[in-house]
Amino acid sequence: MALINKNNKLADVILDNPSIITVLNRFGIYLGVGDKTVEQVCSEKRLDTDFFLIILNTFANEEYFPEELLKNFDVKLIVDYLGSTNSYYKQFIIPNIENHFNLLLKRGDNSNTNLELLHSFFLEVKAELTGRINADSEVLFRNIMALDAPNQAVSNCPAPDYADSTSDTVEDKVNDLVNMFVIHLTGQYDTNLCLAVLSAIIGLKKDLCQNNRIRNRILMPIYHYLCSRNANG
Amino acid sequence: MADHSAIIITRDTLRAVGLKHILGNLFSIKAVIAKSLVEGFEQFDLVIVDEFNCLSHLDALIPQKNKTIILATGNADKYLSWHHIDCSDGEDGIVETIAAILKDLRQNNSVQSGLSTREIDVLRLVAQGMTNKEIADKLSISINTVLTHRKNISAKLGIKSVSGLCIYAMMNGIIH
Repeated sequence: MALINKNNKLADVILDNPSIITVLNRFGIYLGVGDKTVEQVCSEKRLDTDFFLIILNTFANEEYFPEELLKNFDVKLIVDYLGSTNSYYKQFIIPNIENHFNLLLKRGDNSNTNLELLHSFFLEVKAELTGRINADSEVLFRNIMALDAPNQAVSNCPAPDYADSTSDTVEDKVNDLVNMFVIHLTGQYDTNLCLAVLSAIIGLKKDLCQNNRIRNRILMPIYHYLCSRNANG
Repeated sequence: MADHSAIIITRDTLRAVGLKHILGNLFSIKAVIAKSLVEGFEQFDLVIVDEFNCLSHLDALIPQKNKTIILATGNADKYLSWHHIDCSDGEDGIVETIAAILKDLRQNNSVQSGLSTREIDVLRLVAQGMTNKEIADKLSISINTVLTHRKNISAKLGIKSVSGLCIYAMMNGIIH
């Protein structure tokens, strides 16, 4: 797939990759983009065009991940983007899944015990994801910005515990939730509502996967570097 | 169904002993007898229960519906959506009914999950929160064998997390 470049019309980019609409929202870009190019939109919104293009391409192409290029950007750009992504999960994606799930259960008069079990699993995933988002905002992002500021020292650099590869990650659990719907769901349910719930969870799965690459492979190494620089004075 | 286990829950000792004899001699199923629903009953591959116990413990039995057989006496029509044996049938009729139910259960289990009996044992213990070491000790197998079973279970079910496996086990009556 050809990479998106600054001369592409943003409308064409959206029509080719509709799923990036949710990413555009995080940069303050909404539908009704007219016939402006990516570069023109970035200029109007005062966005860093190169960073914007890398994020769009990373999201649109699973194989594309320019690790070294991303590490060269101002860390504030990365933190701001991940922060707005987390807000998007908390304010839109999670409530959207929850609302549809509640309707799905209500429509079936809570008679499908499998759906109730899947709902309890979703609530566990939600609690874990929300916990991670809060920890990101309150600890990780704040520490990184403090460490990156000139002449600033941070007294301690707590290692985030959620990067532990031996425990089940939120990403694993979201993936499990999708598979449980697709492979193991039985009993009666409202087809349309069930599809709405599943589509929303699949959207979250894709988003988490793309953003965890940026978070775990770009931001975390920067964080560890800043921590060791801070420790060595 | 060789090497499978059953629990017969009834206050009618004579009926329980007769059924245990049929299951053991004709179907190689080891059965234990209980007067009423006991803790851990869901760990058995088959739960055979009389009408009194069924009605008294319906909430606990519904999640195990796939592997529950009700012992009815005449008027068995009300149990149409459950596996049931009409105890007033002749000897041949009862044996035929049990054979048909076992065949049905075997097909359902294999279609539902494709898990082997041993993998279901491991899954049950994982879902109960046991560590790999505890599972190995409980089943008298090595930790490496437990890990292999877990890997196969995840590949067959498409579920990696312990919480996900636990939910799957509840959905399929493997744990309560």
